[in-house]
Amino acid sequence: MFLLKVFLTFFKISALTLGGGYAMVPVIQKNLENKGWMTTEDFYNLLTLAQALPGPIAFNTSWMVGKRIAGMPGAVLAPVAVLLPPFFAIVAASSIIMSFGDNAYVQGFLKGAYGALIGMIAGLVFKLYKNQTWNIYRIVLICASIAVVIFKGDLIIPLFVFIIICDYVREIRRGDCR
Amino acid sequence: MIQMMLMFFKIGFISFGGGWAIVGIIKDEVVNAGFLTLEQFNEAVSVAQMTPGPVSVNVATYVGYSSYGLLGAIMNTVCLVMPSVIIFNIVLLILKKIKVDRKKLLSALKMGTVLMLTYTLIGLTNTVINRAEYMTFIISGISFLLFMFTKIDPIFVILGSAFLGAFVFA
Repeated sequence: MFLLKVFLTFFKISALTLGGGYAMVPVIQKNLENKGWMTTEDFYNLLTLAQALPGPIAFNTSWMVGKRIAGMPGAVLAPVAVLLPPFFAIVAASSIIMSFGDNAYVQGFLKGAYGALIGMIAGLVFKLYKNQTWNIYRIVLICASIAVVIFKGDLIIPLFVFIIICDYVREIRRGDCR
Repeated sequence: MIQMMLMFFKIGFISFGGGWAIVGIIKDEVVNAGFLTLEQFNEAVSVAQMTPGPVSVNVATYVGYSSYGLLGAIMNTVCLVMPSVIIFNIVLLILKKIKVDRKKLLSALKMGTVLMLTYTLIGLTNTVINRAEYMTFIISGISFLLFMFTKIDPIFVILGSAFLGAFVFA
């Protein structure tokens, strides 16, 4: 009944995580780590691919994780589990939810969740930095790119591609020299 | 309805960066095509925020539901998420054909992820700074520590923070 467990885990994460797709990424990571289904290292490999593809990050992450831990059935069940709770919430309750929109407590509730989201993404970034093999070339590349996107955010996609190509070409060349 | 499905399918292809980046694209497309007015769209976003799950998918679902009912909701959701699966399989095929060093490519991709996630973090932080709600960062600090050093399920961290937020900000 491993598949059912996978389904329920993703269903639970999706149903209870406020703050959008990015909030779900650290939640998924921690759950996988706690359950012993996937190492942090493996998770980052998948997250990298999920990032590189278009589309919602939570959806991309869920079907890749599902595929890795439970094969093809997992690749179908995990994203379905992610999509179902918000789907029902919207279809069944959009009119009710609407009327809560201006309520100060609801707004505060969302702001609090947003705070948690920042903290956990920071944790994810921290772990990601710790997991890399760093060298001077990479440090310069990343620092320069971050400096650029702070001032020109719309360059993020070209820079993303640029970094990948630079790093890949360099690693290949370094390999040849040895 | 076919027109709307195609629109979301297209959005699925071009929506890199996830989350709010996609919401921005959806807004331009949906409002320009006349499916929703700007005001209706903002309502859609606030519903999407308050419902759990990925914001971009929720917006797509809401737009579909409000225009064409249940079928529209299902179709929009499917159309938005299909392109990533298709592209992934195409990329896999290409990678099989040309010779690449997988380990090195993955390592290079990870450098890209470092940039992407850092950028996401900067974006999230900027929103708080713009609203000048610095209390948020205290909640973030606590969440960071709980995430890093305990085994607590992050769902409880988020829900706990949300209740704390209801007290602090309301």
